[in-house]
Amino acid sequence: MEKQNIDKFKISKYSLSDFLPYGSFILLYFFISNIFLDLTFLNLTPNRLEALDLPFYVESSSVNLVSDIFSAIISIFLAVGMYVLQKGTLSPNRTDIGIQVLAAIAFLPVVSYFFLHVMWLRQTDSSWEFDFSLMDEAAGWQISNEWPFETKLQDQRWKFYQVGVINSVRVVIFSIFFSTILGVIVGVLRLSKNKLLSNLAKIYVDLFRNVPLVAQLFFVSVWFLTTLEPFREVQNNNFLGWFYWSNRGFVFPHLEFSNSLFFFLAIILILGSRIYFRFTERIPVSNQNSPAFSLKRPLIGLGSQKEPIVVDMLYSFSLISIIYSVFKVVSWDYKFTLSGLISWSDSYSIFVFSSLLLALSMRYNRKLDEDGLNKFTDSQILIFQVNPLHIRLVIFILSTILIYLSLSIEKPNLITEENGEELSWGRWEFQEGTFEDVSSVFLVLMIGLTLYTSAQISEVVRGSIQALPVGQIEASISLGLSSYQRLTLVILPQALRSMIPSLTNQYLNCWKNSSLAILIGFSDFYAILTNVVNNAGHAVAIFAIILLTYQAGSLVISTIMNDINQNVTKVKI
Amino acid sequence: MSFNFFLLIFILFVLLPDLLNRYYYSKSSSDFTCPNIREILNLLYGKLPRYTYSAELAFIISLSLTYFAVKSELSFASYLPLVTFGYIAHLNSKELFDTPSNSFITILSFFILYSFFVKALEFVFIESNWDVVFKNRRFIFLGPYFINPYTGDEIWRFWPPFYVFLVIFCAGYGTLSESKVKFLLPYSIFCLALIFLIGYDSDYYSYKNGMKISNRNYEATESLFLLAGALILGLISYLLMHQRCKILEEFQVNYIQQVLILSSFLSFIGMLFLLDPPGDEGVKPSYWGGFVLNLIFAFGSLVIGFGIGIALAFGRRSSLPVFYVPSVAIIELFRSGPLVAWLFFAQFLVPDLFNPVWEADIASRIIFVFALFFGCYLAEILRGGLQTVPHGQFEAATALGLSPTQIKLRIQLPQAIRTTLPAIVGQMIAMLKDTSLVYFFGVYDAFKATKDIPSQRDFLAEYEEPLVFVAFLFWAVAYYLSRLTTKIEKNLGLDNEGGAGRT
Repeated sequence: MEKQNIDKFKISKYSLSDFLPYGSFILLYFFISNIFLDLTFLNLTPNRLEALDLPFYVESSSVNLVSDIFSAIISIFLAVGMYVLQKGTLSPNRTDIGIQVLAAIAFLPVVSYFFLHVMWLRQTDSSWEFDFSLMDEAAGWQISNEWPFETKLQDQRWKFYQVGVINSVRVVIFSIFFSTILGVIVGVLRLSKNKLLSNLAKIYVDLFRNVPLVAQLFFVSVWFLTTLEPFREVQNNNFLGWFYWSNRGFVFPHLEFSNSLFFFLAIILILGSRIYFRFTERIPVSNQNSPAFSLKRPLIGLGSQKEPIVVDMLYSFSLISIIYSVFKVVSWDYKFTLSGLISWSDSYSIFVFSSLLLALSMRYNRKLDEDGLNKFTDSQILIFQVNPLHIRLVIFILSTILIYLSLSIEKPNLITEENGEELSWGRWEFQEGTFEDVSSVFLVLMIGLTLYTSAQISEVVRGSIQALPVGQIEASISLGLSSYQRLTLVILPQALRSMIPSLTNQYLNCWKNSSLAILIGFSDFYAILTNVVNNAGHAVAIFAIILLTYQAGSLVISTIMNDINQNVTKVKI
Repeated sequence: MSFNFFLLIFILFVLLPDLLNRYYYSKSSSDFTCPNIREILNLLYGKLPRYTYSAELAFIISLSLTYFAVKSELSFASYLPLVTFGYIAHLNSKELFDTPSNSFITILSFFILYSFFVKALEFVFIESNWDVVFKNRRFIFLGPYFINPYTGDEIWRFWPPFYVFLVIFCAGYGTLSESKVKFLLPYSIFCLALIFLIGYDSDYYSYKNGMKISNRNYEATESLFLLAGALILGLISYLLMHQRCKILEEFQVNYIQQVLILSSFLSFIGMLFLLDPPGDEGVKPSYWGGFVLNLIFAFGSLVIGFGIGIALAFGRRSSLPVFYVPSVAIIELFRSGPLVAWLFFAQFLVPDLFNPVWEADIASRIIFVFALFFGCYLAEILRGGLQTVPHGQFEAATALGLSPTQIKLRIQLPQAIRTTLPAIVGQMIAMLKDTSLVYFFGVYDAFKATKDIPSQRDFLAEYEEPLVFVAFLFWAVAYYLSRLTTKIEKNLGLDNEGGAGRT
């Protein structure tokens, strides 16, 4: 009886319905791989691919036959392999290897097709040449938004690309800054006890979160064009002659540090006094660590007294040299070629070198903080029988006076007449060097991005506040904190811990969404590069530049945010 | 009604009584208290009854009064809405007017809300000319091809999918076992809107780039009969499913829901085949257009992207390098650039890459890229969900003798989807909003239509109304989906797991 039962079980194990899905899958696979193998072998026929130097060739008349045979072999191999794997008699290690081999063979036709097809495209199609030489050529068109340098028709395309990158970064930095502030405010208001206020915030979020960014940008630009008056009315739209506005944008007074000597004196004064105060107020460490060399603290041999001072001086020095190099920002040589990557002109190399130094000294300082060498007294140590607070006050006043002396502000000068003749408004312009302007497309993109991102951020803020345990809020109420103290001392610092990862996501989205600048005519690097493709082709190389630039920006944002996240989550609760 | 008026109210009824009360309290000789806004409201509205829906009713009345005020241009009319708004304030006066600062916030936010509503109502009912949207409604929804007199007959291809989707959608609502009012009220509004949109003949036409944009051949009666049939079928399917799901057990209802989701995916693919069957017949994807095209893009990226996303998520979690390396590469590649860059890819590079295998037009390529993009983001979401599935589940399933595929698809995936459903729907909403980018790449979607309407002969330079209408369409669908998310969170009990609290 038992034996019969087992036999029955065995027979039912291999019924037709078990094989049907496998069979149909193998059949489908056969047809699909046949298509890809056809084209693969077509690329292997003589006189087809020049770069490929193979000892064998496939005759063009027998391509169909060969691909049929090969796809049949692969399909049968797959069927057998799947059957063997499904039986489950192999050891786990061998099963893993078997699965990998099967998968690799199954993907072989597709992979080989793409590999050979791309080779074929590079041979025949100019847009697939991976060649950046076109970026060295003259661009041949002009763009309107340029800072800190201007572009000409004859400039290299690399220079246009740099203008685009600077434009994108400017917009994104501003909109991240404003949208964070706005988002946190709206997110907190959404949880307000006042129903009217929370509903107001809810309407804001629902409105800006659910309307596409494209539509918002259109609305903002329409609003800008309709509310701001045209340029011919610019004489009437000013604030005491210092600020002008029209639908071309806003004009600000020109601000320049004309006397760099005073300015640097002020900065040296501030940083030098910082070093001195930190030196006098530092609590000496009694139990010294063993002065062994370590990679994280290479200066440990100087002793616990001198080591932090040297680090402080390094920090101040690198800050000063960064400021010095930024001062010469306009005279930077922005030559940027792939062969040399960076051409080492003076101020640029100072900037790069001193930023590296700054990062190094900040990291060193943090290490010193961790090891307890940077502890300062709260009591005030008299310096030359003078209260240090008074000295700080004097230094503050002195440095403000020095900075004020070094500044020069100029009123924007609108030229409306020439040689006593009144010009038509089309030829009006502000005098060169007397103004700074912000164009309206920049503002439109910034406002659009800010509104959209702030609505997203407010949802993040609300979510992480709601995820806090209720006990925290109850405890702070029972401690007698006011609602403002409750928010700033208890709720937000704790919510920040869970907020930062999703906040990073929103910042990355903001950076990527800045590509919509192309819709409103702002020249970010995406708009400029698509223009290059339309003019000169080479779509693949340009596409690689686009992706690399976005990836680089994303990496910078996520590195900074990860650093902040580590700082925030350092304290365990 | 200006801001000064609200400032006056604040000073007279909040600040002054508060100061006076403090002054008299410091003297502590008399019992005099100056009436503040709460007491005044109580005096005015205290005898009115309070019942459950009174706040909503008062809000609707005050909205219509605001409309009247906007429309009539009488000076006293703008103060009428205050009467009913005051009643709402009285109902919540304990929260709204407890301290002077809170009262100031209340009055300020009321001013902002009021001016927002006035602006919105003014725009909707007075400034704008909705004729341009109404005459071009078929153009906005379907694009130029389906309303052309010569090719417009192809519109029958939309009716069978419409029937199927409506039936599936209504049946899906029936499985939720909510009260009937919650379905029937929105459904009747939906029906009325559709009848309003479809049921009017229109003999307007104009020329645009040599192509006739016309509603001339449009016969409303036939479409109305078809629409009525669809709506009645939807209602019947809802009622039947509602009746049935009352009796069934929970797991059976879940099974029905799975079948419905699967059938909607399949019928979407069927719809694509009906629109463009292989061969010469049918409508090529580059001729599709309008808001329907946006929906097709969104739903197509959802359907195809779900498969891609699941495969990539499991590939990324796999320990075998053959699956791990390509899936990490694809995910990181597609997440590194913005969608616009990938649409650039679809426009310039995909045709070269696939040309002998798949000669696609721009719309199909865009669906392909959308699907890949959505799939990569979905894979990251699902990976997070898969990480939260306890390892014990895997061990238990292995002990039960399930195969690795069964464990992945029947044990791990459902649990991962359950925890990440809000994030998935959020990604869907983002995808829907991103379909508005495609008009830039030569596809006739709703935004392209709004760009072309202002160049029609009769509606020169009327660009605001179509834009607002299309933005409203996007807003409505996205808002509906985000409402759905909170509902799903509640149904799954996810909102209780975080320990949420109001501050």
